[in-house]
Amino acid sequence: MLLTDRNFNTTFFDPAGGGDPVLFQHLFWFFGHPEVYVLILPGFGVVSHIVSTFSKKPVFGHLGMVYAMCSIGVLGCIVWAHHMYTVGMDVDTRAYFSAATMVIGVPTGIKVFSWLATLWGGSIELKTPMLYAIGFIFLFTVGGVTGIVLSNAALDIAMHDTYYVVAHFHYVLSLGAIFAMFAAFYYWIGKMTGYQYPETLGKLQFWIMFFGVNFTFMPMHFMGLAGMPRRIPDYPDAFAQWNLISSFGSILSSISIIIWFIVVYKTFTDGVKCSNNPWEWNDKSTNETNYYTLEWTLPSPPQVHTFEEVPYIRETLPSKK
Amino acid sequence: MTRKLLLAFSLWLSFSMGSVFADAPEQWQWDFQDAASPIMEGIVDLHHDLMFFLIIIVTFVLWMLIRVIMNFNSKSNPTPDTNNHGTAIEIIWTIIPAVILLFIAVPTFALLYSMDEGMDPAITIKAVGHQWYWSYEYSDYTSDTESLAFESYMVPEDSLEEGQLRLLEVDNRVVVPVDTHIRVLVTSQDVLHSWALPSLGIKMDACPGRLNQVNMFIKREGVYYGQCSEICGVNHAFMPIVVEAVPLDDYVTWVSSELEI
Repeated sequence: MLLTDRNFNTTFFDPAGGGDPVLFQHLFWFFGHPEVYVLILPGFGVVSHIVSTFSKKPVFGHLGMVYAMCSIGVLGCIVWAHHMYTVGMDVDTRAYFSAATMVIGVPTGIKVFSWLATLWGGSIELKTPMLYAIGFIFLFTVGGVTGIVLSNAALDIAMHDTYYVVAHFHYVLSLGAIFAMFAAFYYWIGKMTGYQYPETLGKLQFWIMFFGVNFTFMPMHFMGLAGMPRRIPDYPDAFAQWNLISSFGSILSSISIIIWFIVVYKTFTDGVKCSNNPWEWNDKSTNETNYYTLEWTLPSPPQVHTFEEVPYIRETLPSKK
Repeated sequence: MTRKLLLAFSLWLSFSMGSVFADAPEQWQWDFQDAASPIMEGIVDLHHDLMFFLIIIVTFVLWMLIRVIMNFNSKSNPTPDTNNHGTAIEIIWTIIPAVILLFIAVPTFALLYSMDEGMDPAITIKAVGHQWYWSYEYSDYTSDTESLAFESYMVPEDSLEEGQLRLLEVDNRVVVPVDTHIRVLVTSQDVLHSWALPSLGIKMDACPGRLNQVNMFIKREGVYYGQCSEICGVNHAFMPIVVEAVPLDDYVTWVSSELEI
């Protein structure tokens, strides 16, 4: 529709021809909001895998986790106008979208508490993927609660199009989804390539990344509350100090990415072979198996065609109280 | 109690910085600008209510993570527990967040609907967004021979006088009387803009082809600064809004002098 507006003289979004730019916003956000849940749901899956492997316990409340992911997916499709609270929508409409958006907090909370319960009583190994997963749990919670603040149509009047929004989505994306992606990289790179990553360098990369992104995005909450708008190339001088800290954080993050490239390089060139299950736990008396998913039974990297037929599960461990 | 502590601290902070009220952003500011309208006071209060719950939640999650790492690391707990199932606790951690959301929802809807309350405005002002300036019309005073309308451009950096705020000052301010209900009609001549004033808790998008109404009631005299809050092109950052709230007599004098011009 935008293409035809721009090139073929339609006026879907042009009031001069009876259109409305707000229509574009509705259409865009109807896609855009489910899109961001598409970004985070795989991250949730990765974190569940990693937390259970490095606690040596299966994920707590598996069925609840599945229902939570499904409800987040469904609810995510009916809350799009919380990106549009200031366009001049009816008050009842804003009230509905506030309520629906807040409801998403409940299944998300279920997931966070289930991960905490998986960790509780486990035997935790703090390898690099686990560091990222634990960082995810805390930092996604911070991003999630600022989302609850923004979901509020009344509060959003003060925060819409300010850096508070930028802080929120960077916490859930750069500190949520990206942490999950790094965790997934460290967890599965050995299995995928047959070469394991250097552990100490990986941990160093994590810590510099952690401080970098937090220094970058935490001050944005303050800038947003103080009223700094989004999408501006220059800002009033009062915002300079927090912006300086934010820039320092971004330099730290860049350094951590360079270190990550070194990690990737060393993974491929050091030649440290990865076994079938580099994460297996040594005390075999406690568990009959030391993996919860099938990829760890296969060689690293797996063969081109691993299973000729679907591998049926013949028995499972009884779930103990 | 927490609210009083926060208020005392922010008062101390603003006194120590040498100004009494922050109606423009201050350095190292980490909270809202000082409220000058009932709506903004409501927003600040609701934000404090929410922060109470949010700090509890974040602290709880952080504390649990710390305890888990301290107590259940592989050295201190080599044998993992096999429990991965618990109906009672799952019900608890579903119900408690739902209850917290209810506690949040009640003041939220109260504020939201009160912001939309009808009122009898004494003045109507039109704020029209252009690329890249605002124009204002006080159409109540329009007659056959005169009208009150003007454009409001940002003061460029090389024209700033000492003490003026860079990127925030304008040549013609919106002068309004204090303690008066004012209706502001916001629209745009070209693309989307947004008329925003943080101290007054006002933000309303200026959409072409649409007339959006927002209520303004300013409780104290002062000069209030805001910036355009919807991306509108290359000078989106350079079309600020300045509202000056004056006593009613001064406002009347200002209107007559503007009409003469």
